[in-house]
Amino acid sequence: MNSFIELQNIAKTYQTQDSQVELFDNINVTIEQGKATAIVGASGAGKSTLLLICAGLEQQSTGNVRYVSKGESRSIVQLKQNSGFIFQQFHLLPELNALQNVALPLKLRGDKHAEKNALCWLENVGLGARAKHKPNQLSGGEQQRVAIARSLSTQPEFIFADEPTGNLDEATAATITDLLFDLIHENQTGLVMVTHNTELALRCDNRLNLKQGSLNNYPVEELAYA
Amino acid sequence: MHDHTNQNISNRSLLSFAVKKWLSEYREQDNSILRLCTIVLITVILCLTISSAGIQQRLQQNFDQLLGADLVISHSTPLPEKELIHLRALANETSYAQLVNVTLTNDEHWHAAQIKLVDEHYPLRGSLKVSADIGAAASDKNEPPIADTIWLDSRLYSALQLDTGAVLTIAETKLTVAGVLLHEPDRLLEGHSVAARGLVHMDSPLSQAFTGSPTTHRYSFNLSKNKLNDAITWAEQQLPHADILHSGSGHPLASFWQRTENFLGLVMVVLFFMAAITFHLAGRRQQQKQQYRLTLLFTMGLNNKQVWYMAIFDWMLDLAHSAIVATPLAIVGYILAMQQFDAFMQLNQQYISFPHAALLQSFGLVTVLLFIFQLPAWLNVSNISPSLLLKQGIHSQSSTLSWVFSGLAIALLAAFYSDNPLLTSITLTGLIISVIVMWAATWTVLIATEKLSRSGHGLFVFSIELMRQRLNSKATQIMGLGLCLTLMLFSFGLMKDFSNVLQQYTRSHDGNLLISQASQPQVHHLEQWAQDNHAQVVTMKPYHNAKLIEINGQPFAEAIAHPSEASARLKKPIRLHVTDSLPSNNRVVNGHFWNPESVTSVPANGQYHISVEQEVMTDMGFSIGDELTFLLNEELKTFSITASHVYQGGRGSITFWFQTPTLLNEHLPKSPLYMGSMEIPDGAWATLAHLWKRLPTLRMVTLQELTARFDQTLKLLQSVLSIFSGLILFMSILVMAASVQGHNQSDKAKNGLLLGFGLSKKQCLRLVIYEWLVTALIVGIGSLAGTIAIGHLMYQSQFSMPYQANWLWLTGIIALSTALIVALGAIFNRMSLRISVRELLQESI
Repeated sequence: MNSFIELQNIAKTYQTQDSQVELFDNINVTIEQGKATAIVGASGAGKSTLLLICAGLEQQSTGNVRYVSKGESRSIVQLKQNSGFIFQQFHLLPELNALQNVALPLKLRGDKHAEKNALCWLENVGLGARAKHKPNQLSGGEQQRVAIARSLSTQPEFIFADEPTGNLDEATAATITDLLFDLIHENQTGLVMVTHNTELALRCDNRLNLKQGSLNNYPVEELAYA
Repeated sequence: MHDHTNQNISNRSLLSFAVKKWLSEYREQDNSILRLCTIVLITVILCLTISSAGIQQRLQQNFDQLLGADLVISHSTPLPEKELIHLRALANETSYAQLVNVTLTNDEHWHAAQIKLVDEHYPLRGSLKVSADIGAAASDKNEPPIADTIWLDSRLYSALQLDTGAVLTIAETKLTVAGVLLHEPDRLLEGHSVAARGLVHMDSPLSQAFTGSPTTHRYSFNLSKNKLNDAITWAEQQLPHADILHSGSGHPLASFWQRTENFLGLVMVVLFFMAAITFHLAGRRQQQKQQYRLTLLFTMGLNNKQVWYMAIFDWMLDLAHSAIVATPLAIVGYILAMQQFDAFMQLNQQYISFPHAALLQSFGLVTVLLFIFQLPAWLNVSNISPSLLLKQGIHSQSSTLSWVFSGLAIALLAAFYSDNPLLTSITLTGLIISVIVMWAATWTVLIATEKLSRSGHGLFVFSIELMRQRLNSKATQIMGLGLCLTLMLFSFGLMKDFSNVLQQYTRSHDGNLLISQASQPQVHHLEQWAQDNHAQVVTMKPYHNAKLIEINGQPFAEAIAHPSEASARLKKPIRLHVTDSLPSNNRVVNGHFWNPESVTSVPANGQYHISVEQEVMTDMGFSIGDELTFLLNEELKTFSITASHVYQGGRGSITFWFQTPTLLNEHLPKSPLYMGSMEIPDGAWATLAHLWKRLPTLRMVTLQELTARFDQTLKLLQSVLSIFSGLILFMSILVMAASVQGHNQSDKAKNGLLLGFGLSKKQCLRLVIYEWLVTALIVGIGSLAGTIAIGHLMYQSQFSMPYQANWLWLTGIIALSTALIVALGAIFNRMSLRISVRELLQESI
């Protein structure tokens, strides 16, 4: 049985100096393992906040986040341990080489064959030969590939990505997109992605538009002509 | 199109921009660390230099006021009549005095004192201040007390429970106490002796009582200006063994202070070493920032010259700001130090001008040193080019270059201040051992742990792995902290051991009474007294007073290559121990110590054997086979160095710098004097006064007096050490802050990522604690090795004390410092824990 994250009546408000601002309200959505979901919307709409709430890394003001894994309800702490992150800025640790960066989450989880497994993942993203290179010796595209390998190395049920191709040129972005989708399909991983990139959103199974505090499905046609 | 760029950027607007930029970056952490470090350095250097100048100024004024004559000649025997006639013929006025060290007694009270017997011409210059009784008004006197009376120091009044009019018996001579001696115009000539004084007329019968006792004979002359130089030149040629003092010869304490100042200089070298580490850690980031900013400005139309203006002006703003803060602090330090000095020396100074010249001079020195620290940054400025921005390649100069310049600044400072090569080399050797051990421990722990845990997992492994990747900066941080801890461990250990050694060791090995000088008849009396009073003579070692005159046939003054502790001491007579066997508390280091059979007659070359203490050998540059000529009882005797020895603990603390076979006694007209120790039972102390009454020149000091003097010194040492430790601690905190600040951004990113991997903030904190724990343990191992190394090297050679590491105490201190380092590390790292995944998403890292 597939795993899923269910957002029930989620609202997020925050307090400014003078007033209370409502970012979004009454969000109901289910994110399934093995499917890709894109969250689109204007800047400042609250996409990143919604992503963090999905990942259990930010507390919602009201509502409930439910994580079900293999038919059983699990805690948010377990969700955190069962997910990976991909950032626009890659965020690799500069002191560690590519292999060590990928092996890091495995080691933290107690994998005795962390480096061996990490090398397999690097080979999966086509960087086996550059395992010993430090981040500053890699191009932007290569760094993002290392970041993808790192996020998938623990074989999480869900990957949360924030503009994963935002810092890359068009050709590299296309390669990275192909790689990312191939890997998540291969590993049956759920992907939740914040993006402004139409091509990327079109590759997703679900597209959600966060607009004026509410979340709606975004028709393919609308995106295609956007 | 015409390019107006350079015309638009005026130097004025540039400077205004530089000031605004400086103000806006004022609170940045790296800046604050560097600024604090600079302020500490400037304060210490300024304070030390102006205080030193103030002390020299005071000594000079004191010298001018208190010489008491134009020319003073002192000697251990009376000057030959022929020389005296010549000098008297040149002088307008002459005065003669004898000084004898005695112990005065009254009933069962006693106190050490110096009796000064003076003729009717005393004082030649200035006047005496005397009061009728304690607290009574002082009056000026231009003549000595009348015969059969004595003026006494106020301390003797209270110690001996005397009143004016009382009768004091000294060596069976009765003298009436006639007044309180408040001031002598030639007081300076007592050097830094604080012995209580008694003044007696030469015509008093007392002058006959000291025949045969060690006496200083002092001749004072007033001369016209044109004859003064002739008299000095003549005296220096004809009386080479006498102490000749005149207004141009400088204060006797000046050279003592010079050596103290040199020791403080060594402290400054250590502080600068710490500062170099801080500058290395925090300064490199500042250099990168500056290079980035200047490169940007360069692309906006600044020319090379303007870029240089900006860089130099930036540095000058920092320097000026630090100087503005540091100068008042240094002046406050100076005022406090001068107050302490005046009180300690009992000086009542007239107006003394502030040492402006010294202030400017030291500011010049500190500017040069900071300039050298800054040079690597300016080498970066000379390399700026817009291509650096295009390639995203703003990097500071290599760390090697930065260390080379820091090393240069420290070497300059060491060369400027240190004159004790042995002490400097011991300190530096200890610190180098500490650095090597820490370096080895760092590599071993990090690499071995990382290799062993290659297949391992968990937070601790990750922490080690991360530290290994940051090995370069981690090693610098460990060195800095380790050196701080080494110095603090050693300083505190030394203070503790001093206290223990003097209070317990002396008591158990040397009894409770130290005899610093006794003649042969006095030793017989002592032994008799000991037998009658159930006391025990623990040791009694014979010696002759000897003054070093020549080294390898060259006059002493000419033979000294550079000033040192030993050479300063050897200007005065020393104790030459006569012995046929190696004392049980000595060990031969080089050469061969004589055996009694081989020294039954003077060797064919007429030179006696002599063994010299190893530190004196090093300080003076002596070698086995060197010839030393001493003046002993008015006879010159030449010795050949056949051995060198060192003190070894466990069998009494009385040891000598120079030792020669007893054969010497047969060739000298006078019997040797003795130095030794006794154990006196509690009930016998009261009868000691009777012994002193009979033998006033017998010089003894009780353990209580010794410890009281020691307590005073310890108190002074404690306050100096507290200031020193405070500065070291402050510098350690700066080193830690600089190092943490350097990794703050990457630590934040790391913690953000770990939170993204599902770790909690508590686990991130544990990671920080692991890192600091490993750091602190390596620091502990290194500083332990360094402390033990310095202890072994320094205790023996500098303090003649055996070094025994107190493991329990050392481990306790290291455990405490480990806890402190971990706690401080966690506090400094708290910024990097204030992170969320959101910040990673927002690219704010």
